[in-house]
Amino acid sequence: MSRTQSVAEAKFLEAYDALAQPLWRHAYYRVGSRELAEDMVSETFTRAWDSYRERDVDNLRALLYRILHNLIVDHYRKNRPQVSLDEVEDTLVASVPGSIYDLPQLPKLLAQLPEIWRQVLLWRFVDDLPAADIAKLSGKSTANVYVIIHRALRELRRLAPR
Amino acid sequence: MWFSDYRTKLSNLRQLPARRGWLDGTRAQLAAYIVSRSLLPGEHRISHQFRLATPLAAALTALLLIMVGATGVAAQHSLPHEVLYPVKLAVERVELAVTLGRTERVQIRLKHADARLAEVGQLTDRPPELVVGALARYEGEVVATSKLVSDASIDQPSTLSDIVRKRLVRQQQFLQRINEETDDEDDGDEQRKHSLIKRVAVMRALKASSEGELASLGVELLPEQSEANSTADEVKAKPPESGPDAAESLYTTGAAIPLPPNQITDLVVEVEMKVDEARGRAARLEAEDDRSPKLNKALMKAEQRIAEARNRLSEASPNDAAAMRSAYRRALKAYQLELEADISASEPSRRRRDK
Repeated sequence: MSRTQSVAEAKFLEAYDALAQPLWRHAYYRVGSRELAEDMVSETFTRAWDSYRERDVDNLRALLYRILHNLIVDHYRKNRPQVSLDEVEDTLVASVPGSIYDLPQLPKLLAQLPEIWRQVLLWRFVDDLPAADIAKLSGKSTANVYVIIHRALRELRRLAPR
Repeated sequence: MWFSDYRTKLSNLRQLPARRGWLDGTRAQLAAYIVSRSLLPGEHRISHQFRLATPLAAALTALLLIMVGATGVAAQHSLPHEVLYPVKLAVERVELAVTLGRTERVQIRLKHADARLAEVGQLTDRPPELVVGALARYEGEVVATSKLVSDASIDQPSTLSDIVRKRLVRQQQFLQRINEETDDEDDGDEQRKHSLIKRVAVMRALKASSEGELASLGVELLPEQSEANSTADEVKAKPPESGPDAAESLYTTGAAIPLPPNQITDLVVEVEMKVDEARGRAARLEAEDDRSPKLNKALMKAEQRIAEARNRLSEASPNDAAAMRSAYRRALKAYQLELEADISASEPSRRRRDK
């Protein structure tokens, strides 16, 4: 195995260590199933390695999110959501120890948003992606991404019980 | 300001953790996958050019092999810590690159998997990382083989899956033996730690191998989903009517690869053996006092799958290939769950001993 290959492997596994959790979380909030999110993230990394080893990849994080996003879109194309975020709410709340925020409501509220709004909010605030990356992932302009974030937050507030 | 309040609330969704076991397991699988792909540099990229240039490539390779012949032959018996080992892997890579047929490639992969296990057999008194490395390469070969089989077009599916299944079963028997022998090494803390590291790697290899076995039967590997949809699977898995259209539709719907009726008796015996093995191992684990709730859960699931497999077997008529396959799948799932339980039983105890 060449030295370049070993360096690429090490970098890729480092990316796994840094990004597997956030990618899983992103998938989980979008598909609502722990196991399905796990399968999708595993698949994302194997697919990403096949691309990564064959060509130069400037932004591995963007590549990973792109692959995961495509898998999620494919999943929804083939199946209607099997588990709603309402159903997983208990698990979710139980898994966030000591949260002082009203998390029980948030996944429910998110589930009521249009898919693209929910997606953008997760990318921005849960995955902490810069607006430029979100623009590339969603195929929108950066300005449009900011508009979506603003509208989505406003909608969340409107939906929230007083 | 309500905006920042919502931003903070959304950011708090970041606290949700992924399962540690899944993260570690996937990392190990990814590392094995990377190793398997590194044995085939640029496989996808070269494939089209390679087909065009096959005679030339074969001639050049033959020349290369003659040139490096003596070294290559010597390298065939080398082990991972030896200087000639990279030559051995390179020769294997060439061998694979000049093999084009799917069945032939599967056979080469299986041969390489055997070679990795033979290395494991010779490395038993060596540092555990060498064994772990050889087993990771073994997993890589099995993953690549499964992929070849599951990507297989409908030409000779039963022959191919049969070749793979039988070979994997033999490899699993070998791994079981290594596992039992590793159990006996029990003198001193350091030695015990090494044994546990090896054992966990052997279990993972066993699990990969049984997953490969499932894939060779054309079974979907998304466990919970496929279990939930098992009735639908079984309907799809009925033996196909003859003719290319039926074959094509079987392939495109992702149904299981059909088994010829004369293999069903063998299958029943294999199921029984798997079930008995899993029961024996479950009973041994039962005897340990410090089982975690996770372990208990895995064992309970394994027991449930075993019971299901037995039920399916007792209900199936001798010519009902779909029911047999379903029983077999359940037995394999039981076996896998039981292996997972065994891995998680070993890992906490390793951590405890490290403290």
